[in-house]
Amino acid sequence: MAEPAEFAVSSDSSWFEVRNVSVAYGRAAPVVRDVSLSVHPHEVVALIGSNGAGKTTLLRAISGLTRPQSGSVWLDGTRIDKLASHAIVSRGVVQVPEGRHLFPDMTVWENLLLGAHSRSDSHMIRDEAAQFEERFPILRKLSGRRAGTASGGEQQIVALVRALMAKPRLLLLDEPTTGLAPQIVAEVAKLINEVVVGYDVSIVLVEQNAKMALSVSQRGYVMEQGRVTVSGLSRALLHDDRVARAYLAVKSERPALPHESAGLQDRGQIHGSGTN
Amino acid sequence: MAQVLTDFLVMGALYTLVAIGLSLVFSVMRIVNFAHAQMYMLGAYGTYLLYGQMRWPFVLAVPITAATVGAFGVACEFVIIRPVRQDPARAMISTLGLLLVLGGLALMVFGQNGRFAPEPLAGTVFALGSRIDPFQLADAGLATVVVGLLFSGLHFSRMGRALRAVAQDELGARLQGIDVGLIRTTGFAIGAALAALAGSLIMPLTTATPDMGNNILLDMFIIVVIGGLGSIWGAVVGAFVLALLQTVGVTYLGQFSILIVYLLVMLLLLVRPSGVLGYQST
Amino acid sequence: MTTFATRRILTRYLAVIAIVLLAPLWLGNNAYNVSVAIGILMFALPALGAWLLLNCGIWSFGQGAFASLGAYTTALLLMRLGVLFWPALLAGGVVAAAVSLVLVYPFLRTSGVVFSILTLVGLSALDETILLTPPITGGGGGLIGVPAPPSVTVLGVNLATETGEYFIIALLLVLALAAVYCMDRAGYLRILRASAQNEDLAEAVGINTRQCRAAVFVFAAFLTGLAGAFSASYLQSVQPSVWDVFPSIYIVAYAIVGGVGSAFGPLLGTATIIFVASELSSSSATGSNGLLPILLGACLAAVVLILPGGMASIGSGVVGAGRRGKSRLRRGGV
Repeated sequence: MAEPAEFAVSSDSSWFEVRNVSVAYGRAAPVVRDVSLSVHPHEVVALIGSNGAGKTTLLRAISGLTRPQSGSVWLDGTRIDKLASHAIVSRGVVQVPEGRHLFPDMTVWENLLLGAHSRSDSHMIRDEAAQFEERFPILRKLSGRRAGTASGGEQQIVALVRALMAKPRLLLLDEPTTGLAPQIVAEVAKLINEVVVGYDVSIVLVEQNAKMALSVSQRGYVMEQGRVTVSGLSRALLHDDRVARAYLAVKSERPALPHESAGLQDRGQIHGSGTN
Repeated sequence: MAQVLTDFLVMGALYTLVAIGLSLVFSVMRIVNFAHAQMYMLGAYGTYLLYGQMRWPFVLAVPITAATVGAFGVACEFVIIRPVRQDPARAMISTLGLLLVLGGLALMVFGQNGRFAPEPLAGTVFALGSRIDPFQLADAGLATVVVGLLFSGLHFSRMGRALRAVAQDELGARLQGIDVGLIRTTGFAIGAALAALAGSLIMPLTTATPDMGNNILLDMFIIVVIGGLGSIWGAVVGAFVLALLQTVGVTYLGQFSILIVYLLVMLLLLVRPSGVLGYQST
Repeated sequence: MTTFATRRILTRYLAVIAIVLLAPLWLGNNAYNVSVAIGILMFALPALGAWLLLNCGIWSFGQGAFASLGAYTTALLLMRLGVLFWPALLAGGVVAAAVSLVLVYPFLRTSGVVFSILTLVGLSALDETILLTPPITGGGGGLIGVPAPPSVTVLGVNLATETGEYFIIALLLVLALAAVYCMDRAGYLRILRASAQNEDLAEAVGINTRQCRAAVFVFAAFLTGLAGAFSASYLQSVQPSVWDVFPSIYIVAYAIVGGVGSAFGPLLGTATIIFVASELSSSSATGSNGLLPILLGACLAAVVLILPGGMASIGSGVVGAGRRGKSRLRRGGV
């Protein structure tokens, strides 16, 4: 993975690696093309890009919900892409999906308990759930309510804590701030920071909100039309021209116009990005 | 009067067992298992063989039969449903085929004539001024206990929570580390066992016939329609409503009440397809 | 469609029609054989209706209701009003079609499993009504002593004989096949299948899917009613059990097993199952010993698991269009 100096980052074999993964649905064209990325312990990595770039599909492949056509996924030296989805969760790779997918007719408390389903030390679960409720008072407030009745921001917090109940080593967050009001977005960002600091976990943060994602992460990858086009340190990406124009200047979820993404594609080559 | 009430309780309780089984299967697999009714029939024959023929104690024959039929259900699921689970339509035709095959086999093996077995509880009980068969009460009670156990299992055990999770949001369930395939199989097994239990319990009260499953097929569909496919509570309500109409209704209003049930159900389906209480069907 | 292709299709239809009409030649005078053949055609006709419905994505498990309607209508006309045979036969079909016309729009507003359960309940409601009105319908015992077809000789065959009755039902089936051929030729079948696959797209190109499906529903009811009407005269009795829940399920199953992709599927499926079942058992009545449901159920499972195109797709070059059967099955709407 050759990268020019300004975006250089340690590139020895990483703790979590996606190597040349391509994903297609059936015989259709691949939605994810030859993507590689890596995550180090205690790191937050941003994965940004507009709608349809393939970010969610990549996460689904990592979580075992769909199989990559080619490539492999590695966690701490073990290959995980051929495992069943529940086995991947047991290994510590836990996803909070787009739309959160809480269990609507169960209480928030039950949702939290379910987060820990994959763990074998079940006697500890209730205590830990109680501890989480202490730490995040909003959970205690919602504890007995049906999860489907909570607001978007509340659900996001529940979903995040539910994922933490699984004692994850790697958290995959798929668009946690989409559809949330700006103040809530800030709260979620704060929560993410707290999580990284307080828990022994790395995070892959997929977002359309590039500004938020890049400000919370150490490194970032930009995906367009299934490929990684730019990658590097987040603060560098924040100040990069093309990234700024395409993803940071416009607040709404406007997909990149052809001339913009064409430009990024070109420059992406020079800056030695993702087609590794 | 007391007799009608007892009939109503027994019928309601047993219908509940079968209907919950059907709803359970639907909620975790999203397919309608046409062959579910045959598990009920197999339960009856199983108990006939173990208790009626081999003279095992009734309290032993029933759970063994239920468990065996549950296991058999799982085997069926593996062979004919799993391969086509992606496509609900094909899966349902599979179960339709199974319905026909099991019914035909029962007919061939046991013949058309009903098989009898004596009631395990002798004597009569007096209540409300008339004689009641204590075995009927025992049946209703036992069925109620099982349903109660099922509910508490669903709500307070890890497996039960996982089952409900898969029913509510499969994707979410997968991502919490739930082995959805295992849950589906478990749900199917429990469903089949419940139906077999109902068949076992009713066997001494009536006869085991090859078409007893066929006879309740429509009733089962009506129940889940009233209560909503996939809703466990709905199954309970639907079961007792139907049982009420078929016992009390028939006694006081005659055969007419059955026609009325059908017409009401048709009306319900046309006006409110998702049932009175339940989830939307696929 | 090229002229070669159209001619090929026509040839196939003509071949099948010829087989149906000439079958008595090799069935001979064996009354048993002929009665099995009659049984086959009597169910193949409703199965053809069910096949049309399947191609629209409609799963009706209650077709027996229309057969019963036809049977009772014809029986009553023949017995009570002394109507002549052919008009009574036709009336049976027409009454069934009329009832279906009343039901079709409300019914087709529901879909999938709900619709199927609705058809089952509807059938049961009809059966229950029959049981409750003995003065008209003879209740559970049914109507006995329905007049057989008239003892006239047409083209050298006496219609009142077994062989003659064979030709009556054969004629009905042949006419039905001819109608299906016309639908095929006019591209109507293709439209139905397309709209079953993608209703929005079909609507977008101006196909009124509701009307198409309604028309098919009524036509299928008509065919089924005719079969029921015939059964009244042939069996010289009418009972609710003849066209009950399970025969109604069998009707759909025959179409699936024969192959949803081919118009000859229903005939193929019905013929094969009933023939094999009757060969393997000593009685000619279907299902009285469990063999028929076992066979049918096993074939259903086989179709689903191994051979989605049904029997018609075996050697798909021979009878044709079997490969499309798989997608047809999947779009089955349930």
